[in-house]
Amino acid sequence: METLALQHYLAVGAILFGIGLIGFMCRRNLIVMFLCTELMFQGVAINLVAFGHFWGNFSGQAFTIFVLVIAAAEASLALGLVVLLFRQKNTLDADAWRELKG
Amino acid sequence: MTGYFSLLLPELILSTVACVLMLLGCSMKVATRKRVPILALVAMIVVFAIQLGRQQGDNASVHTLTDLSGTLRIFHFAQYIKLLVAGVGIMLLLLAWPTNAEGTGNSAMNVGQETGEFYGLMLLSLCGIFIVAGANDIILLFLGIELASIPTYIMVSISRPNPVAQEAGVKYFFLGAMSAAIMVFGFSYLYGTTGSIKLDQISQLLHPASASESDPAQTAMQPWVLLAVIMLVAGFAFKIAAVPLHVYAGDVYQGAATPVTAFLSFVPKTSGFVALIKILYAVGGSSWALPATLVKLLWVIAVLTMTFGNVLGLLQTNLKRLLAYSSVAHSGYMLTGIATLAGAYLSAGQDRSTVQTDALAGVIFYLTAYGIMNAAAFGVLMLLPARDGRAGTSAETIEDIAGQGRRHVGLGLCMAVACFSLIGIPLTVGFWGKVLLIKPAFSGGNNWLVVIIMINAAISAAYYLRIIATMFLRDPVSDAVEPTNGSRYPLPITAAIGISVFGTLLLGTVLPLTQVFTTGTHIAARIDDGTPSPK
Amino acid sequence: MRLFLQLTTDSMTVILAQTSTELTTAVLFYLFASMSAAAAVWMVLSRNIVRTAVALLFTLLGVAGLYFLLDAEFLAAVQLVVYAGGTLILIIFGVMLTSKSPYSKFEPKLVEVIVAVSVAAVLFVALLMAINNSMPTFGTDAQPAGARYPVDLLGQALLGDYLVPFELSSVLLLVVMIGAAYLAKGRKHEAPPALTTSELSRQAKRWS
Repeated sequence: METLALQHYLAVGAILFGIGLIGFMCRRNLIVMFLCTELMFQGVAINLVAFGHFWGNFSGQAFTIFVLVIAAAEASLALGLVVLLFRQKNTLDADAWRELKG
Repeated sequence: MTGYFSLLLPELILSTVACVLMLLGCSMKVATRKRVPILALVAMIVVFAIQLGRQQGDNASVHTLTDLSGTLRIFHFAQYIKLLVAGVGIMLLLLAWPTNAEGTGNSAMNVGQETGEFYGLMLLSLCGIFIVAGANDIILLFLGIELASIPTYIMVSISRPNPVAQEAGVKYFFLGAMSAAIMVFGFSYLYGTTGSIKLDQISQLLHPASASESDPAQTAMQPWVLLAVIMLVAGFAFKIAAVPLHVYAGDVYQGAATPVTAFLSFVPKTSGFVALIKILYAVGGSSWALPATLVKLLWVIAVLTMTFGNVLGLLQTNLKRLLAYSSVAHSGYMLTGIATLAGAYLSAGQDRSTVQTDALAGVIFYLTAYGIMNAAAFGVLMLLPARDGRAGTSAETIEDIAGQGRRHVGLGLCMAVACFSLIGIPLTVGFWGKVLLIKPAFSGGNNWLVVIIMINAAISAAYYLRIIATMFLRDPVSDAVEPTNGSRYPLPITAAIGISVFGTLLLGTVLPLTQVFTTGTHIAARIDDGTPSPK
Repeated sequence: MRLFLQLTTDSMTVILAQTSTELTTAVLFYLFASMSAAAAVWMVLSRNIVRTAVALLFTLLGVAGLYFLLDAEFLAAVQLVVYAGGTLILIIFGVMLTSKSPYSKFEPKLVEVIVAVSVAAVLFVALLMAINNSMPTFGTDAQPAGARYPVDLLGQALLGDYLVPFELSSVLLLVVMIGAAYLAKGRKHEAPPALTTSELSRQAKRWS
């Protein structure tokens, strides 16, 4: 029996995911909101690598690589959008975007 | 075992043509760029024809197609979904045709610089659903869902020069990124519990063949699997615009150009539903043995989604917002089918598998019906002008269409047909869609669900009839500005509306044809025949 | 007697070595885990956007450390090179391109904080319960825990078993590349009016 069980790693993953979720819902700066989703992806990546380690197969690591690809892809898209927005409104406050209303 | 080339032929065609379109879009000549939509349409029609040839009917000798490493598994369900997406994709491409830039409010419409990219992204997004339909690997499933969504984030943002489009794009993107994180969290636990990323292996590991069929312990899932499925449902809820992640729908649908809104109301929704069905199948096994907690959750989400969608729809004055909430409500109707499917294992007696097949076929039929009837509503909106002559937009508010039914009788009648079908009035395809959802719910013992569907259909009738009444009963507003450039009824858009309206009426009235489709969807309800994967 | 002594010392060494490895692993685990979690909290609380990005860097470093402990050296290296070195720099570019002052503040509303914290707390309790309550019975076909993952086998897996996802991810990257370029490029009619020469010189005078 190892001193560090799978649960330890999963707990770290859950903590990072939870903090990311709180940050996404609380913070209003678009860049910070995006960084919080990156934090959530990090939590998931820890889960995947830990599961892969304890199952002893490559799937976890391979999945992590693809998750990193998606995260990087979303980062570049986020940067494009943020620059586009800033050009128009001169602020990244998510609350400044209130033109669409029901 | 089949080679990758034949398995992925439609996907390969779509992605190759998408790359060609993006290259053509770089051309400086407008004449070259004008070929972009034609090429996209041709590719889509070719894919449709291929998929039509791959429908095998009720043939016992057909087995699941799979590749060497078991990444893809394609059976009746996947083939039907691909056919459906290709068919609706043709209509969506026609709606987005660059004909009247002012009328459609789509800046890609004046064959500008972004035409190539716009159509390339459209094809790739449709390609994403093809991947989702065929995937047997949760990695591929996740990538497919992302491929279906990421192009839509870009399409919304570049769809028109109006700042609201960019606002819509940002909201859509940020919520989408968060929901992707939630979804992939669920995938990680699904992998963690079973140690496999192949859906068929997950199913076998969770439901070993040794366990007896009606064992109640079958549904008592490990907490991890339950957690995984709940997180996945939350992630998919964003794609299908289900409560509580429906909040973006109104803003995004309103902000995007109308053809893109039509695209959004079908493509992400379909990818979400297909993925949801596949995950429930993997977790529940071929007998759909799902735990009571999950069934209750799906039931509550379905009821809330229907009711929220319809009640919010009543309050809207912007037609695109109204159609957005109507789309939320239709997701709710389809979710009732999923809830019936999930609940049948626990509640239905001997005829359990009939109820399950009927429910799944009902969901697939409704998806088909929604894809067919929805295009007409958006198409008519695109052809009607905005009242105060706002640049870069077509009719958007309910004031814009006041009396337009008298001025443009054809368009008014098409809108009426679409609205009647969306309500579910007999002689339209929407009626059969609702009937096929209600029937299994009834036989599965979900009487309350049936009552709630009925009440919701009645609520929805109020706002759909308001559209028709405004179009025909109110006096035309004198200051309505007619589009000046281009023809008033551009052929591609009228063709899309025509296909949509004819499909709606034919499937609603010609019973043999409806029968063909119901049989087709019942065949499509077979997701996998359990052919063992290689290795 | 000598043999017995020899055996005892040998076994003692082995046991000591084992405990020390385990101890080291445990210490490193708690170090990396607390580092990434603390940096994550800092990231969410920090009002300065540059500090937020730096905090994310520390989280990424901690997570890379955890990958090392899980024998995923390649992923740890990828994490450091691609994520910390690439993605984060990209985001810092974004910060620099957009923020007039790095100290710009956006105070969240109290209601939002309460809602977010309660949602996350519910989620977190559910997660902890799920994590504690069950443990998959790792199948017999699974290799013993602690098996190594050589990079060449991972590479073969990526181009063998995961060929289709691998190719699909290239399509996705193409989409994102083109999309990001189009988004950031902006359109002619949206571009702010170019500054005239006189305005430019006036600004230059002001700065000098």
